[in-house]
Amino acid sequence: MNRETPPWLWTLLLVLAVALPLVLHARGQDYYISMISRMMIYGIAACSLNLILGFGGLVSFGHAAFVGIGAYAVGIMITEGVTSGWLNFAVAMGVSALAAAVIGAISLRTRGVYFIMITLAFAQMIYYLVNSIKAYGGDEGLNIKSRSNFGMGLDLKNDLTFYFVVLLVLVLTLVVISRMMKSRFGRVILAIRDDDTRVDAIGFPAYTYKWILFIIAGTLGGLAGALMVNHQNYVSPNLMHWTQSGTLMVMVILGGVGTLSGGLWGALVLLILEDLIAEYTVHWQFYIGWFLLAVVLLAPRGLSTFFNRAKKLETKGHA
Amino acid sequence: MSQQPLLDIQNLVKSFGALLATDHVSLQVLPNEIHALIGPNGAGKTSLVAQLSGLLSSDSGHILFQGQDITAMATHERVRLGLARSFQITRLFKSFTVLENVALSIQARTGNSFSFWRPVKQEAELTVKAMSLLNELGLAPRAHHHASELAHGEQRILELGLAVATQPKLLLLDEPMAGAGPVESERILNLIIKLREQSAILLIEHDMDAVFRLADRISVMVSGAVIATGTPQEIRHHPQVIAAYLGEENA
Repeated sequence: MNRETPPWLWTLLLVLAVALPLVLHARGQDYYISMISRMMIYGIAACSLNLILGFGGLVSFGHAAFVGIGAYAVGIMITEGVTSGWLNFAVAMGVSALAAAVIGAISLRTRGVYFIMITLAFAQMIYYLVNSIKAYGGDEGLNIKSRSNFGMGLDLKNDLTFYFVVLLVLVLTLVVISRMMKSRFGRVILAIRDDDTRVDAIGFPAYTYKWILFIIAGTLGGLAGALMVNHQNYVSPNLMHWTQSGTLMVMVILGGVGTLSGGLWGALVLLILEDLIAEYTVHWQFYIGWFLLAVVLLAPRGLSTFFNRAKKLETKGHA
Repeated sequence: MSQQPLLDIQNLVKSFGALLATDHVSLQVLPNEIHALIGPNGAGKTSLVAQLSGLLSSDSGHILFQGQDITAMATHERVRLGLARSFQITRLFKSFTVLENVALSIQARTGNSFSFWRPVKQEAELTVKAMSLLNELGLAPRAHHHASELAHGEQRILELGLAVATQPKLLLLDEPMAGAGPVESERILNLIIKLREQSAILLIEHDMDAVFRLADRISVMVSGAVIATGTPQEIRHHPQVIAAYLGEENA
């Protein structure tokens, strides 16, 4: 299990994450601050997917639905004049939790390919549903005129402030996931990934544990969505499209399935590459494909395991 | 039989299409007894264990455990009542260490596992209990190895340990010696003798020497039906059993 981002790298990342925007701001390059905020929001979304996909071993192909539901919850509230940030985010997470509770209760009765298909089907249903709600933009999406307002002098319209709010949420998300996976609940989840029938046979209701994990992952997805709509001032049904779920899955696989930092690494690297390559060619997806191939071949357990590769080979020799 | 049975199977039926896997099986396991269930391959022993443990639903009939009808009860609830099983094909938590495997099983019956914040490693009691069980099993030296690193025979013992850790009143052992070498088989046999002090055992086993050494009573299953139940002596000389199963060499 010793295949995580090492502590020195976490420290370096955190120092960088705090210092970089200050430098960028001083140089008047606020555009980049906003860009990194977007990457971190995707990082939160991908980490929440990694909870079910990586730690729970349940391949959910409809995770973008929860992100979208969170985003729309905030978008609709702000359109209706409810701008309290606390209320916005609480409702966004609550509605996503509710959606995850319903979708999970049904989907988790299936396994394997059927689970993949049914989660995809639910997400597509929500996608088409939102497309048809003309009052909130329909297929054209929904522009919001102001951002969530948290009071306390926090102005989310300021790129730098927004950045630090996102960073805080990201750190909290990672701490929560890390603690949870080491807790009693986390042990049961990791055991379910190995063999859920055996988990039942030693006296745990495996289904209930999977269901709760699914709800937690959906809730965190909704949290990412609430940040996303504030970041873009806009939400459209495309955020829920199945290709978005696919992108989140690529991030998780790229970064490392079932690792704490996997989703974050995947989101950072994929979005940076996208931006970099898109500057030179419209065929950026072609080159990203080659990159994914290289990662799968060179670090098959994902980028987050890359730094521990040498160490791992060493311990193997002693075993 | 004046003693109230611990497990009382009444007319249990399970069919897969035209195949009657469990054909009106009635069978009792008494407290403190080792009851062996033998029969040729495909007789329906594993299906019966699956029905008893709740992994397979029954078409008709009843399963009473300590007088309570558990026919429709979920697997984990049966385990809570004290009915645990081991598997013929080893099912361990392979990414866990040996200690973590047993600790998880103990965790299931101690305290609330909807606990999301406190690291399980801080619960010294779980580790102590798990370690003491590993000592009994003879697996203590392997405690910090991953389950996947164990030799096959040791995996069979851990398989047993996961069920034992739930502190069952009745253990369903589905071929505990399957695939184990002679030395490991002897270890498992001695372990079963120790386990019987704590719980009754329904033992499915193909090793006839072991069955006749361990069992207080034996039931014989052929084509989904129990054709005879009795002491080892009675079974050894039962004409139907000899014809159907044991063959001349054991007669």
